[in-house]
Amino acid sequence: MKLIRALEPLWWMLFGAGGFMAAFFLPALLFVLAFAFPLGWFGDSTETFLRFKQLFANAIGKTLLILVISLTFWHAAHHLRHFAIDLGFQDVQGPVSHLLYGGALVGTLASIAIIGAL
Amino acid sequence: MSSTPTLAAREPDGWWTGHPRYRNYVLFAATGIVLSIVNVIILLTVSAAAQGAAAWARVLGVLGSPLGLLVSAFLLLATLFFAIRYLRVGAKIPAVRLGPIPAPNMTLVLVLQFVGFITVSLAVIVALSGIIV
Amino acid sequence: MAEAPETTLVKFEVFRFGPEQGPGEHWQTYEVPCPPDWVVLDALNYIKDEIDPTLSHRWSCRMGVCGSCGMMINGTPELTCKAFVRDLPQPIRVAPLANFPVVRDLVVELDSFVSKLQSVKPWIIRKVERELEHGEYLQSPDDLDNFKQFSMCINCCLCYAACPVLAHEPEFIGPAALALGFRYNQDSRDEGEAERFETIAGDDGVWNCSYANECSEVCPKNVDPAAAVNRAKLTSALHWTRLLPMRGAK
Repeated sequence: MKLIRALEPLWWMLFGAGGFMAAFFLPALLFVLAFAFPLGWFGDSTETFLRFKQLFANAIGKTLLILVISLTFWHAAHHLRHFAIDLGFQDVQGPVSHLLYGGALVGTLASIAIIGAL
Repeated sequence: MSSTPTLAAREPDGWWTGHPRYRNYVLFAATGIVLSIVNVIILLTVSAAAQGAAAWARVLGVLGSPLGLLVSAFLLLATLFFAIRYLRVGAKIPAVRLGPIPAPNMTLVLVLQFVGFITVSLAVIVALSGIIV
Repeated sequence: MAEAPETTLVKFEVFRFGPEQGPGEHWQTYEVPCPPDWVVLDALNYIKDEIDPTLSHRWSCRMGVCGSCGMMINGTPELTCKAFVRDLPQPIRVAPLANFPVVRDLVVELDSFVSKLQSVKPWIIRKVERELEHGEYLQSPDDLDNFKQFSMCINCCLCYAACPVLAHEPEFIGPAALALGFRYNQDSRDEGEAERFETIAGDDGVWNCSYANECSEVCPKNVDPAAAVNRAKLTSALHWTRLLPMRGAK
């Protein structure tokens, strides 16, 4: 917990940056991937597949996606940590914080691996 | 310091589901779960794209199923709720003097943030729609 | 001679606790004849004067500037001198402020709040005091705008009663005290930012705030402590990364 406390500004900055990434990019990305693409509004599955790869399977596209996804994980971890305290789990906030930030780290590594393979 | 025996401090009334503003805040705090799920969906889609057109078609099939669309609708609404509240309350923060840099107007920050949100969202949608290119 | 105003009988349920009343709290119902312009404080004073002299409550100016009469009214922290009886659904439940130990009835122990206020060193700190012959400090309207709203706090503690973080982390310094520390950090005459840093950015400081914004919602003086606390997060983070020097840093 001491280490977590010592790095509070870091968690908060990740939370802030992640919040902006999530707010700016996630609604549109979700709309396209979960509605427009499956329902064929932007072309059939082959067209959308090629277009998605054209847009994101390059250095800039991958970097952007990795930043959006990983920073969102850090944002969620920090927010849920505070949520847990608000719900009355303040006595276990040490393990909870480790679990949540650890999860964000796993999410970040997974993002790099998965998006990197595009 | 008082030596009178006191009654222990009580939690605010209506915490956390009894008051509309508390409920709104609790929902906002819970969006961390929603955002993480959206992240996973995006990663699964990207992973499918990396595997090839057949995997991509399979994922789109799942997302386009009635249950998939229902879940996505809930996730989209929750994500929009998050985005709007985050940008709204977040606008208070940058309106501060930082050393010699004077404080920007809070309303200007709010407007710029929402303009940014709309611009980026449209850019993503337009880029993926195939209208251009 | 003016006619006595028409009164309506209004039902109040009041939180009672005291050494002679037995362990724990109980609720007592009073019916108070209220003229249309009464506030909850008028009713409480009537109860004490005419019905039950054992009821204890704090009040002073009765016009929203002293901060003494804060209580929970139907679950929301409010100044009882500003809460009109006619606007409230009955029965009107009056309780002591949440998040504070209760001394008796509607009176809470505010010692923790006072020590939190002191901990942020709420005064102008100068590295070297200005000599009298150098004249007064000059501040522009913009300089004043940077901190003026945060100086309007009347220490009523409604924000402490509304804060969900304080309910679970009682050591949290809290909205009013942190806003006051920020007020001095933003004052162009002050050079004490470095001295306050350990408190404001420490274990019990701004990082505990989860930005529920409830403090600003209940503040009767529009101080907006949530803005102060969260701006202090930004400035503290910038100081921590060394991107922004602190005024008064050695």
